[in-house]
Amino acid sequence: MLTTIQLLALVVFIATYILIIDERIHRAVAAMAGAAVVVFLGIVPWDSMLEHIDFGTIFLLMGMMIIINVAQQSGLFEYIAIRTAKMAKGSPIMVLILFSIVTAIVSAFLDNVTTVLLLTPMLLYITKLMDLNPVPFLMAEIISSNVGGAGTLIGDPPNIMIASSAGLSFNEFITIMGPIAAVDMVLVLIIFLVIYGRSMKVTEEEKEVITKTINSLDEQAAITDRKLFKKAIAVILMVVVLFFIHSSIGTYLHVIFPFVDPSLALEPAEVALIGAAIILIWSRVQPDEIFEKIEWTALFFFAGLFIIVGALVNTGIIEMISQYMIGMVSNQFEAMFVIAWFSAFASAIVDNIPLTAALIPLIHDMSATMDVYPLWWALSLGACMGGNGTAIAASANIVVLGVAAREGVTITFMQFLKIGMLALVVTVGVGLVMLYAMFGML
Amino acid sequence: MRYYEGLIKRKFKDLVGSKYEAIQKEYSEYILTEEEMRPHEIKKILLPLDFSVTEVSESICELLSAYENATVTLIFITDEQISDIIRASLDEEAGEEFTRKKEEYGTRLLDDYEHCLTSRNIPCMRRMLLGNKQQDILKIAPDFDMVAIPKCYASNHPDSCAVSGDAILLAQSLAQPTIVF
Repeated sequence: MLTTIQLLALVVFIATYILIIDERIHRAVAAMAGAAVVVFLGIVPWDSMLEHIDFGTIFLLMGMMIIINVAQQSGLFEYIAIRTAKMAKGSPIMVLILFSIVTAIVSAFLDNVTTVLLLTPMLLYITKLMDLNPVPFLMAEIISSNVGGAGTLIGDPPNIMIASSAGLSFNEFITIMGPIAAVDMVLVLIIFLVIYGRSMKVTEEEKEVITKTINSLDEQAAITDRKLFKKAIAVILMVVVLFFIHSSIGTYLHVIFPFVDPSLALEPAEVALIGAAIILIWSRVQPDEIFEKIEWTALFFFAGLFIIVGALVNTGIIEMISQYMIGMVSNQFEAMFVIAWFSAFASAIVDNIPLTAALIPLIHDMSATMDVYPLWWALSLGACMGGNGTAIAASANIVVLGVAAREGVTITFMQFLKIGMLALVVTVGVGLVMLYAMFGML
Repeated sequence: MRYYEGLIKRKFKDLVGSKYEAIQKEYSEYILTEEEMRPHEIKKILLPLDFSVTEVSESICELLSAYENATVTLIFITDEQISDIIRASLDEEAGEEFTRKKEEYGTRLLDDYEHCLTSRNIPCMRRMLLGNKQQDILKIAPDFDMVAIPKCYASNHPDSCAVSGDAILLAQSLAQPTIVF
């Protein structure tokens, strides 16, 4: 039986999540309002409020937003879009494959929303030139963005949240989720080619005209600031390298500077903030211009969510659910199965960010009775790939569908659901089998 | 369906804000809009003439013949303001004389242009106006798909002008495609 305070925390949690799903109120406002209520009711005391906010996640997101905003000013993304379009040489199948791969790779290292926001206009332009139905191309872009993002620590917000809370490193993500994302990406492309391959035909003459038109686009003209363009690429590469070595940076630095402690390690958020500081110093871009573009609403959304979930932790509701789950599963194999599939289908309804925020403390709680290390990966797999399930499951989906709608292309909920659910089941199923194999459970 | 569309719109607005408009603007510098991609059909061409046009341009007749099924409307404009000034400063007769002489010239020029165009199977219509050479063209032009402007149109020194101010101004002000010849 729930106590009054537990009931209140649960009501605030459910009401906030309903508001987030419906979005009649901005999701950041909904999360902040929910947080305000639990603080006001004393469910989360003011003194301990900050303890619930995962600043690792907030600062990692902030650092990456600064880097991406500076890079975006140089025309880097438009350059990538035009180059990708040219590489396809007028073939619709190549457009689908190349845009999917590029989207997956860029999403793995940069923000999914920015990636799809900048690649979608080019994809719509090409499909218009080809006089082909843009829906398969857009769907492939969405799914590739979610699959690619699953492959790295910084690729998708659920991974950032999991890594920050569980203390997982970039390399762990690359070695465990990277291969899963790669295999899932191949499977997704096969699915699209099997379903839509036949409808993606253009005559040789049309191909020639399309190639000529696309070749007339000047990718060099897309670069608004050549110096900034080079600096942005250099900083992004440096940040990626730092992510690779962040957990053992002391070992490398100790060789050059013997006074550095070999056990020194950097948090992923530190890497992002270092990268942000370097690009701001080096590029000489006006900082107020860049700070204005930081998605503060997203950061407040995360902070609000952490506090609302903190209320569930404080009141013992998470512990109750965790006890119930532990009673349901008898070993890691079953726990991974339940977490991966539950998070996948629940992400498809709720949005994978609030879902991950709620499941993280649950897994922490389960650590009292079992080794939860494999469970983090099951959560990452489910939350990221679950983003493919429905039109509202992940931010990338909303952005592509929103851009498409503005350009007169409608993807209905059912149209999305058919392909999205197929992608969800295949990617989570295959990913889970791979996780079992990696952890010697097969 | 309506709820779904509204939901996507709301979530898109909250996620993207005004970023997409900025990206659209950037992309418009590299890629054509749907309207730009559609070939512009030319059915009606306006060709204004005046006293400053001293000879028929064979090259423009040749160029206009490329627009199949297009009709060219020739308009000769005599400056009403000058006619009024002459009337006011000299007398009514002098004003009438000025207008008559200009119209005689206009009729000849229109005949020559009409011949030049019809000999290339370009259907054409002709009009003679007493009015303002710049304002009247700006007023009439929206009814046409293209405007071909003589380079010394409305110039006071047709022999020495490279391109007249009125020709430049019209080319800049008109929304339709223009040819200055």
